[in-house]
Order: sequence, then structure tokens, then C-alpha cells
Amino acid sequence: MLMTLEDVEPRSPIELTRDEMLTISAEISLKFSPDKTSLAAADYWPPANVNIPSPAAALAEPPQIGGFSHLELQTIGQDISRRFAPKAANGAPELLLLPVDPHHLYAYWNTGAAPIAPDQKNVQPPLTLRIYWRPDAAEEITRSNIWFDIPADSPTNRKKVRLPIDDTSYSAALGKVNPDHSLDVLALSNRVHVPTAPDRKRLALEHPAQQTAAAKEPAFAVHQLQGILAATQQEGAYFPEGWSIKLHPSDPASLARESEKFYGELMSIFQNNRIDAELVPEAAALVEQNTLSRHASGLGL
Amino acid sequence: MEKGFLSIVLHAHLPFVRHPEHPSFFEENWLFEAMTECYIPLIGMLDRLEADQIDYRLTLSLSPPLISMLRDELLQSRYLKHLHRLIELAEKEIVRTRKAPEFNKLARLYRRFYRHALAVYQNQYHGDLLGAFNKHQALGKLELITTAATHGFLPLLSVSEAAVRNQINIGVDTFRTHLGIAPRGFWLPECAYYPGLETYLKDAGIAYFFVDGHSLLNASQPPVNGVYAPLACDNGVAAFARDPESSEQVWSSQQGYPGDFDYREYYRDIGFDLDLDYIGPYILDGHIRANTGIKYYRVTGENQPKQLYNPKAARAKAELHARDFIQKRQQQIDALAGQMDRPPHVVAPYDAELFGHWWFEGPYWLEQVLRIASEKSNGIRTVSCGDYLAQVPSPQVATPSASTWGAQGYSSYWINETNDWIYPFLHQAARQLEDFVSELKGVSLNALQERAFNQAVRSLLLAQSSDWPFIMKSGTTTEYANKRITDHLARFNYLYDSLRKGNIDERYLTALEIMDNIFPDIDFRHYRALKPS
Repeated sequence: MLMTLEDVEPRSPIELTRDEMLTISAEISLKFSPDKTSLAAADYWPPANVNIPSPAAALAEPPQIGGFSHLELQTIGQDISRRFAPKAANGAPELLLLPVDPHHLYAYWNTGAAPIAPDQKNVQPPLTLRIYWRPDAAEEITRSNIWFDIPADSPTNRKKVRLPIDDTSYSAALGKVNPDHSLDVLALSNRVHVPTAPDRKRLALEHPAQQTAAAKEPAFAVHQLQGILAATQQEGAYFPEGWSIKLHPSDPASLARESEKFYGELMSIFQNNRIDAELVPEAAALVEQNTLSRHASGLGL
Repeated sequence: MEKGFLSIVLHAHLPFVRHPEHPSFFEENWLFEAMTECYIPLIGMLDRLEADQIDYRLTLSLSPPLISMLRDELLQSRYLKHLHRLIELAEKEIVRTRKAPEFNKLARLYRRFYRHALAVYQNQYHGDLLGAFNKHQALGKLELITTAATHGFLPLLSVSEAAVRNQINIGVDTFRTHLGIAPRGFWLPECAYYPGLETYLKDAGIAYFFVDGHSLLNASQPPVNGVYAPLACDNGVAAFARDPESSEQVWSSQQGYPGDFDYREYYRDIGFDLDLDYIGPYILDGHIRANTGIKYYRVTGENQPKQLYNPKAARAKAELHARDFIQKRQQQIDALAGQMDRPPHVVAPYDAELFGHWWFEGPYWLEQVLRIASEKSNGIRTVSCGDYLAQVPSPQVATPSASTWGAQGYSSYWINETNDWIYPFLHQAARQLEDFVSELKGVSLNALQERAFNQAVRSLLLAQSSDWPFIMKSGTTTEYANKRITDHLARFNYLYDSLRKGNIDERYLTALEIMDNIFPDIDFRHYRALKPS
């Protein structure tokens, strides 16, 4: 039979639990341990003259804060979080753009309708995001606009969009594309500006002659497209290999004037990049008012 | 005569982590660890430099959530409890390591470190660390600046001008209330700038802000002096750029000083190394392993067993690195001086929490940098950016380019597939609030309605913090970040709904005021739109 401590040691009149003994031991160590060490930090953290109450006795938090217990605060917080959790808006249709970097923006939208049941998705016409290049940063839409379409097919109604040109402005419209390439617009976006790509700025500084070409000039856009198309194709997100392009100058007259060279250069760039491109002049309705409208049209990429 | 200037800028920020709804809450340790390992050691450094009459200038950005937490009585009380537990743990470690002299020395070092922190906090500054920083500002050594109210990522909030304006103005007001002075400088959260932001800064009385280097290099006009002199925006507010070289020397995970083999290893903590039975009372819920702050090993090097930390060797290395840092700045300034039309100005901004928390020897390194820089023979003078503008007027006029100091230099860290879902909700709430407040022009409200409106603004501001999308992307405590942003948005929705329906439950409102007690002097009327969106 094993002997216990009680068998060999007379009992003290003061009974201490194991925890109490540990607390007393720690307290004595804390207050009376020799404080010399050989560490280099001796002068960095000098021995502190501080009155340290025992942890158990110190700083008991009041059971209530402002008349509420912890549990009551928790319960109220949980109740609000459960009943008012954020949910997607289903009011008026909206489309918002956020600039991310020189070659990307984020678009998010809502269609203003109740969510479409999965079995109805295939019979609904697909939605499209039409991204407009806005080099003049003007509020009105002009015939010099260039746009490209990407499918608005994300189930989350959010999409990161690769942009062909940096240091310029973009806007967008959400809608359904008609056979004549016009767009039935559901929502129009804000206008955003994406910054200069660092590489291009450096190029411009190294070749000042190029820098003098104003950003609004078609020739400048052509110049930009050359390098950017390659990067766009590499990324492959929205322009996979083998993609084809139809250019739709909205004003045939402009094709015959100063933009002839512009379109010609664009076509040659596409051909050099093995992109099937076709020039399809059409007399679409021009939009000159302050906002985009239904059947907005421009030069579509 | 100095050939050039050096501005060291520390940005101190933590999200608002205060949870009175729990008796203790793990994320509050973020604050407590930063206080123990970073802010108190930095104050110790400032005190020593002052005692030795060292001629230096340092800039410290204090974020409004941090300011609010440092002044919060509940957190002050919980911090004392936290420190006592650390001292208790260090005591236990002294007992546990009594037969291992090298470990025992380190355990004693930790006990002295924590007791010193307690002495500084409790006895010297009576729980008021802001007062300690303010003392050094008044002595003319420290320039204190601030940042946006809840560190909102301003470019992605900019669809609402009221959101940006309130982030800036409430940040400046909070600083002024607690520090008693108006800040001259402003730390843009994540250095995130977009053209036009300077308008709000100017309106808030700000003279300068910081951007990353490429923001100046890609400015509307090529910067004549590169990143080594500020640019003035059209409205006169100056933009200072981060110097990539001095940044790399400290930040880089490969070449940066903190990765030196002699420095203390952050990732070997007794919270992960020791038996659960023993360490349980000092980790999360008694069984989820977490950092305690006691670490016995040094970085050592790759693919080697970790070796014991040697404080003496680490301090010697920090001195060496401080001298190297100043030498490289001298070389930089010597090379630049002949090419520039004004004295070169090197701006070296860092997260304050790097110093002491992640890089244990950081405060000591910084102290040595400031001591060495103060030697006249160096040809370098430490200045604040405010000092520089006063001494070297007429900066070149140009608009910086949109940029951040995050990965790739733009906004992709704060909007991507991990966190993009938050923006529709943040924008929707800002728009609702803006519209609602605009409707109230000329309408008088009762006290309860005013309280509810003010609390709705607090909820929205707390949801706008850049910390939540950052955490979601970094993948560290994503559950907490998700919960925080959804809770704040839910609280906003609740208050908005109550106000719209004219049905405010005062008990619920009071509970929310207790839980989210930041910005007590806020006025919701400032959230109305000033310009048509």
C-alpha cells in the first residue's frame, strides 16, 4: 500500500489547495526573485519599480457594462445580425464600375428583378456588359466611342474586366444585345479612370516624340493597342485564342474622313495578331445626349 | 551642413477590436501585443533619446481606431489584466526552465520586459500612452499625424463623396479631440491615392500626405526630382513618395534586416511548443494554440534546427544594421545631390507594428538609426515632412497617379475574388445614409433619433475599414473579418430600418452604443451629400 503525504507529514492548521499554493509560490517568486541577469538587455529594460497586485486580486471587471451583462449584449448583437444581415439589393437596376489597376476594372450590377430560377436561365436572353472607351472623359457619348462586349454571366453579378488601354476613362452599360449590335440598356454605369501603366510611362519618357501624341488622337490608341493586345491574349480571360472582331463604325462618314487611317491601322494590328477582323459600317443612331440610352452604339470591338 | 534629409514615418494602426459583449476576446490581444511589444518600447526609445538630448525628428501616424482604443477604459483595464498574465507566465517559465540555464536567462528577460512594460504603462504614464506620445510631440521631436476614421480604403469608397469626406474629417477630428492639436500630415490608408483626393485633404486642413513611389513617377508631369522631393497638387497639398530602397532594406522578406539569422524568430512561440496542460491558461479558450509572446529561438536560417536566441548578438546586429541603413542613405543622398535642384529628401515609411512586434529588435534598431543620424558629420538631417515643406518651399506642381503601396501597386489586394462581395453592400449603405440625411434638411429630430442616426454612421464607418478586405485576402482570420463586416452592416441596416419606421428600441440602441463606442462626438448631419453623385 502506498503512503500518502498525509501519512508522513503533520497537517498544518491552515489548509491550502494546490492552486492556492501555486499562487503563493508565484507571488513569492514574483516579488523576491533575484533580478540580476547577464543579459545585454540589462540597461534596456531596467528592473521596474512597480507595485504588482496578485493577478487573482487585480482588475476584476464589473459584471455589467452600462447596465448590460456580457450575455445581454451578445444576445442583442446576435439578434440584429440574424434579422438584418446584408442582402443583395433588388431595387432599380444598377451597374457600378470600380477601377482596380491600369488594365482592370471591377463591375458589379443588379438587374432589378427577382433572381431567375435555374431552369429559366437558359430561356432568358443573356445579359451583356458593354464597356465604352472614354478617352475624352466627357460626360456625353460621342461617335468617337469604342466599346467591347463581355458576357454578364457571373452568378454573383460581379466581374473583373480586362481593359485594352490604360490611363484613360471607361463607362459601361448593362443590357441585351440586339441582332444589329445595338443594346437594350438596363443600367448605365459611372465613369472611371484607370491609371497609367508604369511601363508605358517609362516608354513615353524614353521616347519623348511619342509622348507628344495627344491621348485623344486615334493614332495614339492604335499605338497602345499593339502592345496591349498581346497582353490581353496572354491573359485569355475574355479574349481567348481564336477570337474574332467586328468593327462597327457608327458613322460611315467618319470612316471616309480622318479615321480612315485609324481603322486601317487597327485592322492591320488585328491581322498581325491573327485575329479575324471585319469592318462593318452601319448607320446606327448616334447618341449625343448626356447619358447613354437604349440602342447605344459606337465602335464595337 | 546637411546634404539631404531623411524622414522616418511610422504608421500605427489596428482595427477597432473591442468586445465588451465577451468577458475576454482573443482579437483584443492584437492591441495588447502591439502595446507591449511595440508602442511601449517605442515610448521607451523616445524617453531615452530625450534623456540623452539627441537631436532627431520622427513622424508617427496614429489611426483613429488606435487612438480610441488606447483611451478606452475597458481596454485599459483588460490590458493590465493581460500584462499580469504575461508576468505570471514568465514566472512559471522561470520555474520550468530552472534546470536549463540558457532558457532560464531568456525567461528572466521576458519577466523583466513585461514588468518594465507594466511600470511604464501603470506608474510612469498612468495608462495614457497617447499622453506619452504627445509629450514628445510637445518637445518638438515627434510629429504626430493621423489617417482616415476607420482606415477606409478611399479609392473604393469614392463612389460616395460623403464616404470619403467623412472618413477624412472624422479621422482629423478624432485626432484633434484626443491630442489637442491639428495634424499637418495625413496617412492615406494603404497609401491609396486617386486624383482629386487632395481636395478633401485640403478642406480638412491637411498640408501633406504620402504615396508610393510609382504614384509620383507616373504623375501628370514627370517629376524633376524623382521620388526625392514632394510634388504639390494643384491645390497646394504636397505628396511625398516612399523611397523604394530604404523600404526594401526593412520590408523585404528576403533582403530585409528583420530576417537576419541573429534576430528573434517570431514564429516559434511557447504557445505552440509547450504541452497544452501547461500552456492552456494562456492561449485561446484553453486549447487553441496561439502566440503568447514568449519566444526562445532566433531566425537561425533555412533548413536548420532553430537555435537559441541570444539578445546580446541580436542587439549587436541591430547596431550594425542601423549603421548600414544610415550609410546607404548617405550614399543615396551623395549620388542624388548633384542631380537635383534642391536637397534630396528620403522618405522611409513603415508600419509601426513591425517594430517590436514582428521585428523584436526593431525599436532598438530605430533608436540607433536616430542616434547615428543625429551625428553632424553624417550630412543627413532627420526631418518631418512638415519641416521639409517649411525649409524647402515651392515644390513642383503635378498630380500624382492613382496608386497604393499594396501588392502590384494598385487596388487589387482590396478588391478581388476573396472580398469583392463587400463593395455593393458598403456602397448601398453609404448611399442610403447619404440620401436619408439629405432628406432631413430643416427637419428637427428628437434625442433618440439623433442617437440612432449617429450610431448608424458609426456602424457604417466600422464596416468600411480596409482591414476586413485585407484580412479576407491574406487568409489569416477571415472568419472574424467576415463576421465583423456583416455584423456592422447588419447593425446599420437595423438602425436604418428603425429610423425609417420611426420605431427605435432604446434598449437595443444603448447596447449598440456600448458595443461600438468609437467616435462619441460624431454628427450624422455631415453625412449628407454636398455634390450630386
